[in-house]
Amino acid sequence: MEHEPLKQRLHALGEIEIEPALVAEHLGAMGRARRRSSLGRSIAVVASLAVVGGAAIVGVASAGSPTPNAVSAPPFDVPVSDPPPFDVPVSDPPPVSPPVGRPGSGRPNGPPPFGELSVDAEFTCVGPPPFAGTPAESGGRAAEALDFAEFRSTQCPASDDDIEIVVEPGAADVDDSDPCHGPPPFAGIPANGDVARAIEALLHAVVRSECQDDAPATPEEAESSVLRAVADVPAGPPADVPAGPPADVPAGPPADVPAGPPVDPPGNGQ
Amino acid sequence: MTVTEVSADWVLVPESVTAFATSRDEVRRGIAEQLYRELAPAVLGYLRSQRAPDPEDVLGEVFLHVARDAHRCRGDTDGRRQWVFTIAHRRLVDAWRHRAARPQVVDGPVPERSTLDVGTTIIDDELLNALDALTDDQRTVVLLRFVADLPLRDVARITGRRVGAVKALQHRGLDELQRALDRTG
Repeated sequence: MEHEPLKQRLHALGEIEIEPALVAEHLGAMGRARRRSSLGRSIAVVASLAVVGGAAIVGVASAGSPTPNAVSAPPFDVPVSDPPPFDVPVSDPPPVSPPVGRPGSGRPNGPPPFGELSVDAEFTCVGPPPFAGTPAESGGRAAEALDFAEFRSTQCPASDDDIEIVVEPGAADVDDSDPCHGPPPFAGIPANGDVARAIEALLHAVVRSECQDDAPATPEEAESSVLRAVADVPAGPPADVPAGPPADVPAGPPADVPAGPPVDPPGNGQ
Repeated sequence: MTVTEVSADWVLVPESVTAFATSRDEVRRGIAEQLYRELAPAVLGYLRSQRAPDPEDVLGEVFLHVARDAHRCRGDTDGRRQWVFTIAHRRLVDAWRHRAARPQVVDGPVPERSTLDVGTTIIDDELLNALDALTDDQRTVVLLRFVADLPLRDVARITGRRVGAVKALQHRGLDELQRALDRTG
Protein backbone atom coordinates (compact mmCIF):
# COMPACT_ATOMS: atom_id res chain seq x y z
CA MET A 1 0.00 0.00 0.00
CA GLU A 2 1.32 3.35 -1.02
CA HIS A 3 1.74 6.01 1.73
CA GLU A 4 0.55 3.55 4.38
CA PRO A 5 2.77 4.93 7.19
CA LEU A 6 1.63 8.42 6.28
CA LYS A 7 -2.02 7.41 6.48
CA GLN A 8 -1.41 5.89 9.89
CA ARG A 9 0.11 9.16 11.10
CA LEU A 10 -2.82 11.09 9.70
CA HIS A 11 -5.29 8.76 11.38
CA ALA A 12 -3.53 9.34 14.69
CA LEU A 13 -4.39 13.06 14.44
CA GLY A 14 -8.03 12.14 15.01
CA GLU A 15 -7.39 10.07 18.11
CA ILE A 16 -6.84 12.87 20.54
CA GLU A 17 -7.76 12.59 24.16
CA ILE A 18 -9.93 15.55 25.05
CA GLU A 19 -9.60 17.12 28.47
CA PRO A 20 -12.41 16.04 30.81
CA ALA A 21 -13.11 19.65 31.72
CA LEU A 22 -13.66 20.50 28.09
CA VAL A 23 -15.92 17.48 27.64
CA ALA A 24 -17.98 18.49 30.66
CA GLU A 25 -18.24 22.05 29.39
CA HIS A 26 -19.38 20.95 25.95
CA LEU A 27 -21.87 18.41 27.26
CA GLY A 28 -23.31 20.97 29.66
CA ALA A 29 -23.71 23.47 26.86
CA MET A 30 -25.43 20.83 24.76
CA GLY A 31 -27.87 20.07 27.55
CA ARG A 32 -28.66 23.75 28.02
CA ALA A 33 -29.14 24.16 24.30
CA ARG A 34 -31.72 21.41 24.22
CA ARG A 35 -33.57 22.85 27.20
CA ARG A 36 -33.55 26.32 25.67
CA SER A 37 -34.87 24.89 22.44
CA SER A 38 -37.69 23.10 24.24
CA LEU A 39 -38.49 26.19 26.31
CA GLY A 40 -38.51 28.42 23.23
CA ARG A 41 -40.80 26.05 21.41
CA SER A 42 -43.16 25.93 24.40
CA ILE A 43 -43.25 29.72 24.56
CA ALA A 44 -43.99 29.91 20.85
CA VAL A 45 -46.84 27.42 21.18
CA VAL A 46 -48.38 29.33 24.12
CA ALA A 47 -48.06 32.64 22.29
CA SER A 48 -49.69 31.29 19.15
CA LEU A 49 -52.53 29.81 21.19
CA ALA A 50 -53.05 33.15 22.91
CA VAL A 51 -53.19 34.96 19.58
CA VAL A 52 -55.68 32.50 18.13
CA GLY A 53 -57.85 32.62 21.26
CA GLY A 54 -57.84 36.40 21.31
CA ALA A 55 -58.83 36.55 17.68
CA ALA A 56 -61.67 34.12 18.32
CA ILE A 57 -62.96 36.19 21.27
CA VAL A 58 -62.83 39.38 19.24
CA GLY A 59 -64.64 37.67 16.40
CA VAL A 60 -67.44 36.43 18.68
CA ALA A 61 -67.80 39.86 20.29
CA SER A 62 -67.97 41.66 16.97
CA ALA A 63 -70.49 39.16 15.60
CA GLY A 64 -72.84 39.83 18.52
CA SER A 65 -72.82 43.62 18.23
CA PRO A 66 -75.21 45.40 15.85
CA THR A 67 -73.82 46.68 12.63
CA PRO A 68 -74.08 50.41 12.12
CA ASN A 69 -76.31 51.87 9.46
CA ALA A 70 -74.78 52.75 6.19
CA VAL A 71 -74.60 56.52 5.92
CA SER A 72 -73.32 56.82 2.42
CA ALA A 73 -76.01 56.91 -0.19
CA PRO A 74 -75.57 55.00 -3.39
CA PRO A 75 -74.36 57.07 -6.33
CA PHE A 76 -77.14 58.67 -8.28
CA ASP A 77 -76.50 57.89 -11.87
CA VAL A 78 -80.08 57.40 -13.02
CA PRO A 79 -82.73 60.11 -13.32
CA VAL A 80 -84.73 60.59 -10.18
CA SER A 81 -88.17 60.40 -11.74
CA ASP A 82 -87.43 57.64 -14.22
CA PRO A 83 -88.59 54.15 -13.45
CA PRO A 84 -85.85 51.68 -12.74
CA PRO A 85 -84.54 49.90 -15.79
CA PHE A 86 -85.74 46.38 -16.16
CA ASP A 87 -83.38 43.99 -17.78
CA VAL A 88 -85.54 40.88 -17.41
CA PRO A 89 -89.18 40.45 -18.33
CA VAL A 90 -91.43 41.49 -15.49
CA SER A 91 -94.04 38.93 -16.43
CA ASP A 92 -91.59 36.11 -15.76
CA PRO A 93 -90.02 36.86 -12.42
CA PRO A 94 -87.89 34.29 -10.68
CA PRO A 95 -89.51 32.37 -7.85
CA VAL A 96 -89.56 34.45 -4.73
CA SER A 97 -90.02 32.92 -1.35
CA PRO A 98 -92.31 34.71 1.08
CA PRO A 99 -90.50 37.13 3.33
CA VAL A 100 -89.46 35.65 6.59
CA GLY A 101 -87.60 36.98 9.57
CA ARG A 102 -83.99 37.87 9.01
CA PRO A 103 -81.71 35.06 10.08
CA GLY A 104 -79.79 35.93 13.14
CA SER A 105 -81.83 39.00 14.01
CA GLY A 106 -84.13 37.08 16.31
CA ARG A 107 -87.18 38.50 14.60
CA PRO A 108 -90.03 36.01 14.20
CA ASN A 109 -92.05 35.70 11.04
CA GLY A 110 -94.29 38.63 10.33
CA PRO A 111 -93.90 42.29 11.06
CA PRO A 112 -92.18 43.22 14.29
CA PRO A 113 -93.76 45.48 16.90
CA PHE A 114 -93.48 49.14 16.16
CA GLY A 115 -91.17 49.79 19.06
CA GLU A 116 -88.54 47.69 17.39
CA LEU A 117 -87.90 50.56 15.01
CA SER A 118 -85.72 52.25 17.54
CA VAL A 119 -83.62 49.19 18.24
CA ASP A 120 -83.51 47.54 14.83
CA ALA A 121 -80.12 48.62 13.69
CA GLU A 122 -80.27 47.11 10.22
CA PHE A 123 -83.55 48.30 8.73
CA THR A 124 -84.55 51.89 9.24
CA CYS A 125 -87.10 54.13 7.66
CA VAL A 126 -84.43 56.77 7.07
CA GLY A 127 -81.47 56.48 4.84
CA PRO A 128 -80.38 54.03 2.21
CA PRO A 129 -80.87 50.32 2.64
CA PRO A 130 -78.15 48.52 4.52
CA PHE A 131 -77.22 46.55 1.44
CA ALA A 132 -76.54 49.69 -0.59
CA GLY A 133 -73.04 49.48 -1.86
CA THR A 134 -72.80 45.71 -1.67
CA PRO A 135 -72.44 44.01 -5.01
CA ALA A 136 -75.66 42.76 -6.49
CA GLU A 137 -74.03 39.43 -7.17
CA SER A 138 -73.90 38.59 -3.48
CA GLY A 139 -76.08 35.68 -2.57
CA GLY A 140 -78.10 37.13 0.27
CA ARG A 141 -78.92 40.43 -1.37
CA ALA A 142 -82.19 39.29 -2.96
CA ALA A 143 -83.60 38.05 0.33
CA GLU A 144 -82.37 41.18 2.05
CA ALA A 145 -84.06 43.37 -0.55
CA LEU A 146 -87.32 41.52 0.00
CA ASP A 147 -87.06 42.00 3.75
CA PHE A 148 -86.24 45.64 3.34
CA ALA A 149 -89.15 46.31 1.02
CA GLU A 150 -91.55 44.57 3.38
CA PHE A 151 -90.13 46.50 6.30
CA ARG A 152 -90.55 49.87 4.65
CA SER A 153 -94.03 49.12 3.40
CA THR A 154 -95.32 47.82 6.73
CA GLN A 155 -93.30 49.50 9.46
CA CYS A 156 -92.44 52.98 8.29
CA PRO A 157 -94.95 55.65 9.32
CA ALA A 158 -96.80 57.39 6.54
CA SER A 159 -96.12 60.89 7.77
CA ASP A 160 -92.66 62.23 7.48
CA ASP A 161 -93.25 64.18 10.68
CA ASP A 162 -92.99 60.94 12.64
CA ILE A 163 -89.51 60.29 11.35
CA GLU A 164 -86.55 62.05 12.75
CA ILE A 165 -84.36 62.83 9.81
CA VAL A 166 -80.73 63.23 10.63
CA VAL A 167 -78.87 64.95 7.86
CA GLU A 168 -75.14 64.55 7.80
CA PRO A 169 -73.24 67.84 7.53
CA GLY A 170 -72.54 68.52 3.90
CA ALA A 171 -74.91 65.87 2.67
CA ALA A 172 -77.37 66.64 -0.09
CA ASP A 173 -80.85 67.68 1.05
CA VAL A 174 -82.55 64.65 -0.40
CA ASP A 175 -84.97 62.45 1.50
CA ASP A 176 -83.66 59.05 0.62
CA SER A 177 -86.07 57.29 2.92
CA ASP A 178 -89.13 58.10 0.84
CA PRO A 179 -89.64 55.19 -1.51
CA CYS A 180 -92.04 57.28 -3.58
CA HIS A 181 -89.42 59.86 -4.46
CA GLY A 182 -85.79 59.86 -5.08
CA PRO A 183 -83.59 57.28 -6.66
CA PRO A 184 -84.27 53.61 -6.20
CA PRO A 185 -82.06 51.81 -3.73
CA PHE A 186 -80.34 49.95 -6.52
CA ALA A 187 -79.35 53.12 -8.33
CA GLY A 188 -75.76 52.93 -9.33
CA ILE A 189 -75.69 49.18 -9.68
CA PRO A 190 -75.16 48.31 -13.31
CA ALA A 191 -77.95 46.34 -14.90
CA ASN A 192 -75.87 43.44 -16.10
CA GLY A 193 -78.66 40.92 -16.08
CA ASP A 194 -78.43 39.54 -12.57
CA VAL A 195 -81.56 38.20 -10.96
CA ALA A 196 -81.13 39.94 -7.62
CA ARG A 197 -81.26 43.38 -9.19
CA ALA A 198 -84.30 42.41 -11.22
CA ILE A 199 -86.12 41.32 -8.07
CA GLU A 200 -85.19 44.57 -6.42
CA ALA A 201 -86.44 46.55 -9.40
CA LEU A 202 -89.71 44.65 -9.32
CA LEU A 203 -90.22 45.35 -5.64
CA HIS A 204 -89.41 48.98 -6.14
CA ALA A 205 -91.94 49.20 -8.95
CA VAL A 206 -94.61 47.73 -6.64
CA VAL A 207 -93.78 50.28 -3.95
CA ARG A 208 -93.90 53.11 -6.47
CA SER A 209 -97.25 51.94 -7.77
CA GLU A 210 -98.60 52.21 -4.23
CA CYS A 211 -97.25 55.73 -4.08
CA GLN A 212 -99.59 56.72 -6.86
CA ASP A 213 -102.54 56.23 -4.49
CA ASP A 214 -101.90 59.78 -3.37
CA ALA A 215 -102.67 60.98 -6.91
CA PRO A 216 -106.23 62.17 -7.75
CA ALA A 217 -108.52 59.26 -8.43
CA THR A 218 -110.94 60.98 -10.87
CA PRO A 219 -110.53 63.59 -13.61
CA GLU A 220 -112.69 66.00 -11.63
CA GLU A 221 -110.40 65.79 -8.67
CA ALA A 222 -107.46 66.30 -10.95
CA GLU A 223 -109.04 69.39 -12.48
CA SER A 224 -109.88 70.85 -9.10
CA SER A 225 -106.39 70.23 -7.84
CA VAL A 226 -104.99 72.03 -10.89
CA LEU A 227 -107.38 74.99 -10.31
CA ARG A 228 -106.31 75.13 -6.67
CA ALA A 229 -102.70 75.17 -7.73
CA VAL A 230 -103.36 77.99 -10.18
CA ALA A 231 -105.29 79.97 -7.57
CA ASP A 232 -102.33 79.79 -5.26
CA VAL A 233 -100.21 81.66 -7.77
CA PRO A 234 -100.41 85.45 -7.12
CA ALA A 235 -101.71 87.65 -9.94
CA GLY A 236 -99.47 89.98 -11.89
CA PRO A 237 -96.00 89.66 -13.09
CA PRO A 238 -93.30 88.44 -10.84
CA ALA A 239 -91.95 91.04 -8.50
CA ASP A 240 -88.48 90.93 -9.94
CA VAL A 241 -89.62 91.82 -13.48
CA PRO A 242 -89.67 95.63 -14.10
CA ALA A 243 -92.74 97.18 -15.62
CA GLY A 244 -92.65 98.59 -19.13
CA PRO A 245 -90.47 97.86 -22.08
CA PRO A 246 -86.79 97.31 -21.73
CA ALA A 247 -84.77 100.50 -21.46
CA ASP A 248 -82.78 99.92 -24.63
CA VAL A 249 -85.86 99.73 -26.87
CA PRO A 250 -86.99 103.19 -28.19
CA ALA A 251 -90.62 104.16 -27.74
CA GLY A 252 -92.98 104.35 -30.73
CA PRO A 253 -92.98 102.60 -34.07
CA PRO A 254 -89.84 101.86 -35.95
CA ALA A 255 -88.46 104.74 -37.98
CA ASP A 256 -88.94 103.06 -41.37
CA VAL A 257 -92.72 102.64 -40.89
CA PRO A 258 -94.77 105.74 -41.94
CA ALA A 259 -97.14 107.16 -39.41
CA GLY A 260 -100.87 106.95 -39.90
CA PRO A 261 -103.09 104.28 -41.36
CA PRO A 262 -101.94 102.39 -44.36
CA VAL A 263 -103.06 103.87 -47.68
CA ASP A 264 -104.77 101.55 -50.09
CA PRO A 265 -103.23 101.51 -53.52
CA PRO A 266 -105.21 103.48 -56.14
CA GLY A 267 -107.73 101.66 -58.26
CA ASN A 268 -108.79 99.37 -55.61
CA GLY A 269 -111.77 101.27 -54.33
CA GLN A 270 -114.97 99.64 -55.52
CA MET B 1 -23.30 -2.75 19.36
CA THR B 2 -26.93 -3.50 19.98
CA VAL B 3 -29.30 -1.10 18.31
CA THR B 4 -33.00 -0.54 18.58
CA GLU B 5 -35.58 1.32 16.56
CA VAL B 6 -36.93 4.33 18.43
CA SER B 7 -39.00 6.11 15.84
CA ALA B 8 -39.15 6.93 12.18
CA ASP B 9 -36.82 9.86 12.77
CA TRP B 10 -34.05 7.82 14.25
CA VAL B 11 -33.62 4.60 12.43
CA LEU B 12 -30.77 3.22 14.42
CA VAL B 13 -30.05 4.42 17.90
CA PRO B 14 -27.70 2.65 20.26
CA GLU B 15 -29.48 0.78 22.99
CA SER B 16 -27.20 2.34 25.55
CA VAL B 17 -28.82 5.66 24.67
CA THR B 18 -32.39 4.51 24.95
CA ALA B 19 -32.09 2.17 27.90
CA PHE B 20 -32.77 4.77 30.58
CA ALA B 21 -34.39 7.47 28.49
CA THR B 22 -37.80 8.50 29.76
CA SER B 23 -38.72 11.08 27.16
CA ARG B 24 -38.13 11.87 23.55
CA ASP B 25 -36.04 14.86 24.50
CA GLU B 26 -33.80 12.70 26.63
CA VAL B 27 -33.36 10.36 23.69
CA ARG B 28 -32.18 13.25 21.59
CA ARG B 29 -29.82 14.39 24.27
CA GLY B 30 -28.51 10.88 24.60
CA ILE B 31 -27.86 10.69 20.86
CA ALA B 32 -25.92 13.98 20.94
CA GLU B 33 -23.81 12.87 23.88
CA GLN B 34 -23.13 9.53 22.27
CA LEU B 35 -22.03 11.26 19.07
CA TYR B 36 -19.81 13.57 21.08
CA ARG B 37 -18.03 10.70 22.82
CA GLU B 38 -17.59 8.82 19.56
CA LEU B 39 -16.60 11.60 17.22
CA ALA B 40 -15.35 14.60 19.19
CA PRO B 41 -11.68 13.47 19.14
CA ALA B 42 -11.71 13.05 15.36
CA VAL B 43 -13.57 16.35 14.89
CA LEU B 44 -11.08 18.16 17.11
CA GLY B 45 -8.17 16.58 15.24
CA TYR B 46 -9.68 17.64 11.94
CA LEU B 47 -10.18 21.20 13.18
CA ARG B 48 -6.65 21.47 14.55
CA SER B 49 -5.12 20.01 11.42
CA GLN B 50 -7.02 22.60 9.39
CA ARG B 51 -5.57 25.34 11.60
CA ALA B 52 -8.99 26.38 12.79
CA PRO B 53 -8.97 29.44 15.06
CA ASP B 54 -9.90 28.33 18.59
CA PRO B 55 -10.57 24.71 17.59
CA GLU B 56 -12.05 23.87 21.01
CA ASP B 57 -14.61 26.64 20.61
CA VAL B 58 -15.45 25.47 17.11
CA LEU B 59 -15.80 21.94 18.46
CA GLY B 60 -18.31 23.22 21.01
CA GLU B 61 -20.28 25.01 18.29
CA VAL B 62 -20.33 21.87 16.17
CA PHE B 63 -21.84 19.76 18.90
CA LEU B 64 -24.28 22.46 19.92
CA HIS B 65 -25.58 22.21 16.39
CA VAL B 66 -25.61 18.42 16.70
CA ALA B 67 -27.60 18.65 19.94
CA ARG B 68 -30.17 21.01 18.40
CA ASP B 69 -30.65 18.94 15.24
CA ALA B 70 -30.27 15.49 16.69
CA HIS B 71 -33.82 14.68 15.59
CA ARG B 72 -32.64 15.03 11.98
CA CYS B 73 -29.90 12.50 12.44
CA ARG B 74 -30.71 9.42 10.40
CA GLY B 75 -28.92 6.38 9.25
CA ASP B 76 -26.29 4.12 10.69
CA THR B 77 -22.94 4.92 12.26
CA ASP B 78 -21.38 5.95 8.94
CA GLY B 79 -24.31 8.23 8.19
CA ARG B 80 -24.04 9.94 11.56
CA ARG B 81 -20.29 10.36 11.12
CA GLN B 82 -20.79 11.94 7.71
CA TRP B 83 -23.50 14.25 9.13
CA VAL B 84 -21.31 15.41 12.03
CA PHE B 85 -18.32 16.08 9.80
CA THR B 86 -20.47 17.98 7.36
CA ILE B 87 -21.41 20.29 10.23
CA ALA B 88 -17.79 20.48 11.36
CA HIS B 89 -16.55 21.43 7.89
CA ARG B 90 -19.15 24.18 7.58
CA ARG B 91 -18.36 25.57 11.02
CA LEU B 92 -14.70 25.51 10.05
CA VAL B 93 -15.36 27.53 6.92
CA ASP B 94 -17.42 29.98 9.01
CA ALA B 95 -14.53 30.32 11.48
CA TRP B 96 -12.09 31.00 8.66
CA ARG B 97 -14.34 33.67 7.22
CA HIS B 98 -14.84 35.23 10.64
CA ARG B 99 -11.10 35.36 11.25
CA ALA B 100 -10.49 36.84 7.79
CA ALA B 101 -13.03 39.55 8.48
CA ARG B 102 -11.64 40.33 11.95
CA PRO B 103 -7.91 39.66 12.12
CA GLN B 104 -6.58 39.45 15.67
CA VAL B 105 -3.38 41.07 16.82
CA VAL B 106 -1.54 38.86 19.32
CA ASP B 107 0.79 40.57 21.74
CA GLY B 108 3.52 38.60 23.45
CA PRO B 109 6.40 36.31 22.58
CA VAL B 110 6.08 33.85 19.75
CA PRO B 111 7.05 30.30 20.78
CA GLU B 112 10.07 28.91 19.00
CA ARG B 113 8.33 25.61 18.39
CA SER B 114 4.64 25.04 18.53
CA THR B 115 3.74 22.13 20.73
CA LEU B 116 0.15 21.17 21.22
CA ASP B 117 -0.31 19.22 24.40
CA VAL B 118 -3.79 17.84 24.54
CA GLY B 119 -4.19 15.80 27.63
CA THR B 120 -1.57 13.11 27.42
CA THR B 121 -1.40 13.17 23.62
CA ILE B 122 1.37 15.01 21.81
CA ILE B 123 0.28 16.33 18.47
CA ASP B 124 2.44 15.31 15.52
CA ASP B 125 3.71 18.78 14.93
CA GLU B 126 5.94 17.74 12.06
CA LEU B 127 2.96 16.36 10.19
CA LEU B 128 0.91 19.48 10.91
CA ASN B 129 3.63 21.69 9.46
CA ALA B 130 3.91 19.41 6.42
CA LEU B 131 0.16 19.75 5.84
CA ASP B 132 0.72 23.46 5.30
CA ALA B 133 2.46 22.61 2.03
CA LEU B 134 -0.80 21.28 0.55
CA THR B 135 -3.43 23.33 -1.16
CA ASP B 136 -6.63 23.93 0.74
CA ASP B 137 -8.55 21.42 -1.37
CA GLN B 138 -5.84 18.75 -1.05
CA ARG B 139 -5.59 19.26 2.69
CA THR B 140 -9.35 19.09 3.18
CA VAL B 141 -9.65 15.89 1.17
CA VAL B 142 -6.69 14.22 2.87
CA LEU B 143 -7.92 15.12 6.35
CA LEU B 144 -11.50 14.08 5.70
CA ARG B 145 -10.32 10.81 4.24
CA PHE B 146 -7.77 9.81 6.89
CA VAL B 147 -8.47 11.85 10.03
CA ALA B 148 -12.26 11.81 9.83
CA ASP B 149 -12.07 8.33 8.29
CA LEU B 150 -14.77 9.02 5.72
CA PRO B 151 -15.18 7.11 2.47
CA LEU B 152 -14.61 8.79 -0.88
CA ARG B 153 -18.33 9.14 -1.50
CA ASP B 154 -18.93 11.10 1.71
CA VAL B 155 -15.90 13.32 1.14
CA ALA B 156 -17.21 14.07 -2.34
CA ARG B 157 -20.58 15.00 -0.85
CA ILE B 158 -19.11 17.28 1.81
CA THR B 159 -16.74 19.07 -0.56
CA GLY B 160 -19.23 19.24 -3.41
CA ARG B 161 -16.98 17.40 -5.86
CA ARG B 162 -17.18 14.24 -7.87
CA VAL B 163 -15.63 11.07 -6.52
CA GLY B 164 -13.03 11.04 -9.28
CA ALA B 165 -11.95 14.56 -8.45
CA VAL B 166 -11.69 13.66 -4.77
CA LYS B 167 -9.58 10.65 -5.61
CA ALA B 168 -7.22 12.77 -7.70
CA LEU B 169 -6.94 15.38 -4.96
CA GLN B 170 -6.20 12.67 -2.42
CA HIS B 171 -3.47 11.14 -4.59
CA ARG B 172 -1.74 14.46 -5.27
CA GLY B 173 -2.15 15.54 -1.66
CA LEU B 174 -0.52 12.42 -0.27
CA ASP B 175 2.35 12.75 -2.73
CA GLU B 176 2.88 16.39 -1.80
CA LEU B 177 2.65 15.60 1.91
CA GLN B 178 5.23 12.86 1.60
CA ARG B 179 7.59 15.20 -0.24
CA ALA B 180 7.15 17.84 2.43
CA LEU B 181 7.96 15.33 5.16
CA ASP B 182 10.97 14.16 3.24
CA ARG B 183 12.22 17.74 2.93
CA THR B 184 11.91 18.39 6.65
CA GLY B 185 13.15 14.99 7.70
